[in-house]
Amino acid sequence: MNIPDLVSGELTASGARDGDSVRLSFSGNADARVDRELEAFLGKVHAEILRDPASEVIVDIRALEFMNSSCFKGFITWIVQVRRMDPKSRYRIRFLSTSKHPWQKRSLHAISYFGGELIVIESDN
Amino acid sequence: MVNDRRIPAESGGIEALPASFAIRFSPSSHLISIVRRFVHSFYGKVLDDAELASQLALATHELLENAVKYGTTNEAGLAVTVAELDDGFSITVAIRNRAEEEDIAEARRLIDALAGAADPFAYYQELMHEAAERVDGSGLGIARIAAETGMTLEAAIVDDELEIRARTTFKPRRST
Repeated sequence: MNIPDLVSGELTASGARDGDSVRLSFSGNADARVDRELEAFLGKVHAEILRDPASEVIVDIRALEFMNSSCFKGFITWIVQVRRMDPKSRYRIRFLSTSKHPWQKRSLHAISYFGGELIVIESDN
Repeated sequence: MVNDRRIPAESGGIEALPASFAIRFSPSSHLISIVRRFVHSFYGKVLDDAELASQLALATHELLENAVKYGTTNEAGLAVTVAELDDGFSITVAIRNRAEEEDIAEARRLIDALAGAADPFAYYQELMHEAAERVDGSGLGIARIAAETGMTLEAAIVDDELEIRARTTFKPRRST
């Protein structure tokens, strides 16, 4: 992928192409220091997929200790962008989460409800 | 007056209550994450409930960031209070800071709307749709506390400062 890793504050994010899918990995702490950069990173991922389509984006947040509401908004904005695509071109967003960080289950429930069929949640428990 | 009591160890492995604290500091983003981690670790240990500790940490983080965003000074007070009830404990996360009248009114409007909502989660979903169109901020912090933790929220003016409280209850697990 032509997207540079995001390393800012206590957050690291990276993306890699894997055949027909894209895998994003997040680790650290997503707080107010990085919300704009995170939203920009997700925007670049979306733009990249518009250029070179994928059927699914795997979002691995198992190493993400915390995400605040302004970073959470970045994911909401991204989901809205996907929803506005032609239905034939839309891609799924599959979150990989862990019970080690209980906020993930609660926040991903809200994201799943928001994104409907676009969202798939997997947990390690 | 807070009436803290030590929970007997045999009631579920809880090591040390009372477990209330208060600090006043200048909450930068970096310090907010440090305080969140403290709340998470400390209450995870003394309440022996990882889920509840995570909820308290989330409320602490979102309320402190709110104080940074809307505060008119660089000071905020945080108090986490564990108080005894007849059938358990009340746990309150309270953030205090000076704020503009219009921001105080907006915070109260939002908290009243959450309290009056038949389904806070559905109201949160509405706010998520609105957030996607916002350029500045998410407007989700307070609603996230209510919807994702189930904590109840209230706002009050105390010593000329806005105090937002997030409250929940806790019943220690009984040992078998």
